Amino acid sequence: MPDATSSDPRAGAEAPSGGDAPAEAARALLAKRADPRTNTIVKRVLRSGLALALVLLVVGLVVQLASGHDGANQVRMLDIASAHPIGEELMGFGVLALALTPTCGVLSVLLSWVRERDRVYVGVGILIVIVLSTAVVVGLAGA
Amino acid sequence: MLGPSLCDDPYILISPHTTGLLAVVFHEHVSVAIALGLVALGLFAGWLGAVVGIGGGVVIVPALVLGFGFDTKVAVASSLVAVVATSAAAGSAYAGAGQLNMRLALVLEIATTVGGLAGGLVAVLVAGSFLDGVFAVVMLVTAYLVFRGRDEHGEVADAPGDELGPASGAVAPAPGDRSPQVAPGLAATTNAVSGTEGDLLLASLGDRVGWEERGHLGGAYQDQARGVLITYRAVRLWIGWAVSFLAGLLSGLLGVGGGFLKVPAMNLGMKVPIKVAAATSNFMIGVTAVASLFVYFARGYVLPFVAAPVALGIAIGAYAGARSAQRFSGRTLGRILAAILVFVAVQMGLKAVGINA
Repeated sequence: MPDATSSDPRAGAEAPSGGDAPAEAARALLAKRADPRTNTIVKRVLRSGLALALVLLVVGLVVQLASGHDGANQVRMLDIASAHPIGEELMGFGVLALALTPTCGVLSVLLSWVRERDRVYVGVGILIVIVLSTAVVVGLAGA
Repeated sequence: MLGPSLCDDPYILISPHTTGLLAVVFHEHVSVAIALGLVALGLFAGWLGAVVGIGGGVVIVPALVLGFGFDTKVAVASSLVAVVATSAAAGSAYAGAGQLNMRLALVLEIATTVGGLAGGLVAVLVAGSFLDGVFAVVMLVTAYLVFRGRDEHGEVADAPGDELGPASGAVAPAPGDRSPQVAPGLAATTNAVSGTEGDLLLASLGDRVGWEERGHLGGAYQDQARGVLITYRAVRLWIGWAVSFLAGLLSGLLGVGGGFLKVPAMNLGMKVPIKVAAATSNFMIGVTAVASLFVYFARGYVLPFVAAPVALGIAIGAYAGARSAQRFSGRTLGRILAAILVFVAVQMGLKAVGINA
């Protein structure tokens, strides 16, 4: 088996035609490739969400400690804005931002698949969004 | 241990037995001491997770319950927050490396999020002691897996996938050769022309070498260490779904990520390369944890003052752990951890039956 049929692999991969079996096989593989930007988009969404959440958690914690409050209050998802003291409110929003980070990751993937018109996976993404929404509704219903 | 229950009084006292010791050291600054302790716990759990390969939940929940004296459900909710933070950090790193397969992740997430939602709903209804008992059992299983030295980073169980290597490097009979049923067409192609084809692909792709395959649960990624391109296709989806549902259920009940179940299910059951399995599982546990976290959060089990320092610590610890992972023997650490897990599992078991050791 020859190790390489071309001295410049890139030229081989980009050649429009020819009986080069490896190049054909490579092109066949690439033809089935989904949009590789999806991973990049997910990376950015996760990083941004995490950064926002961590900033809120750090600031909230520092404020809370500086205010000299002892003990820890529970903060419900719908009552974050009315949480006291302000440090716990900020940390509550930090937890919310964290919870929304993977959710936004799923939504960004879903949008990416909509763009690709990959119908089966658009359906899969919508199913996940429905389950997550159910979790919010069911959680709130019993609260 | 913990003073008033959540239902009686929204104001949760820090455990007297913890504050008793800390108050001596920190005088009136008990909150600062507790916060520092929680950050340290997160740092340790994150570092351990990155080095040994188990998630933080299995460390955080017992430490919060037995060490800090928090209610089990508060501990689980805090752990879920930490799990989401770890998943976002690790998931974004893996996505950058092109090893994350989002199609595989979300197909399995159908089962996992339903499991996570169910687990969260059951957990808020049952007694805390029941959760302690289940946790003790899961810790024993984890201890066994850690002791055996299952390597999530990669080498031991790495098997399936077709390797397309650079032309210059003689690619040894690829593990993929053992499982041509993974991708019959590709395997045949690979066997014939692996070197040149891999070279052509790597050269034409540049930096973006990881991709997913349209129409199938498969794809390819570049193994940086060996400089080869590995293609794969998942098989036996039902195994992934069954195990993912169980992992989701445990995640919702106990606040653990469930990666210790999902990674072997994907790798051994579905024939997905270990690196893709680990990356995909890392993203998945965040989405799963959110499904149950929404339930805990809506019902008031999230105490930001507890959850925030742990989440901050674990994010930093995981980052540091990933950078220092090469310098520590995961195997030795794993054995020490296994012993600690067994000891703590016994404590949790005793607590479940009402004995505070």
